[in-house]
Amino acid sequence: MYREEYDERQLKIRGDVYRRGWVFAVGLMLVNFYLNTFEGVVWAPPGSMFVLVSMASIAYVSIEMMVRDVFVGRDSWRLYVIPFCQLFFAFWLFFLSWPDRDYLVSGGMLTRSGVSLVNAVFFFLVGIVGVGKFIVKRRLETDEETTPAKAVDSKKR
Amino acid sequence: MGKNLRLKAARAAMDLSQKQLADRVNVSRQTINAIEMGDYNPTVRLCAAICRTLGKTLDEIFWEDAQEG
Repeated sequence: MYREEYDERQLKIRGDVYRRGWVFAVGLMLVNFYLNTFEGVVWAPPGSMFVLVSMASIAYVSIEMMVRDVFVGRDSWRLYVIPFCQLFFAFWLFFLSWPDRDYLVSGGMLTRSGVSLVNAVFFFLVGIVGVGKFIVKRRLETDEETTPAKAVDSKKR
Repeated sequence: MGKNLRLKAARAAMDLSQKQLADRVNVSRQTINAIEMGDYNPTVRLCAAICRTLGKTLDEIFWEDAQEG
């Protein structure tokens, strides 16, 4: 059922994007491991580091899929709902961290509020790309792509 | 890969939009657009489905000499 939602072109592109996303995630984890182990850099609470690295990878994959029109399948309502949900979560996390905005970083390390804010940035980026893609797509779709040829000809006359 | 104007012409002859053709062959509109623009090389199965829908042969739409760009 999952595969039927995407056509062959979309499946191919999604596979390529997932592969790059996996490499990106592994790369981030290796950099994080190096910083933690060899440089002694602890930039966030341990559990939060994993969350932020994962969120960065998910954001990268989501943004590329949205840009390449393979984020959702054909005519899926999720194309319209998910970006707005992402923006909602972004603002929600932002407002959660707002009361502690003076304490986003403590001792060179992100606080929990700082982690919330960074997560909000990731959600915002994905949401804004999705909404922007939705708006641009609507404006750029020509009559020829959605209207039968004869109807386009009669409009031109 | 050049544009596939034969596909576009065959689709226009059937008075189909990209969306309508896409729905009939069970792919997205963007895929039909990508095929017409020469940005995507479809599988034989999809080529056959498109030809069946448009009432054309594979040679008439997808043979290399038929593509202009």
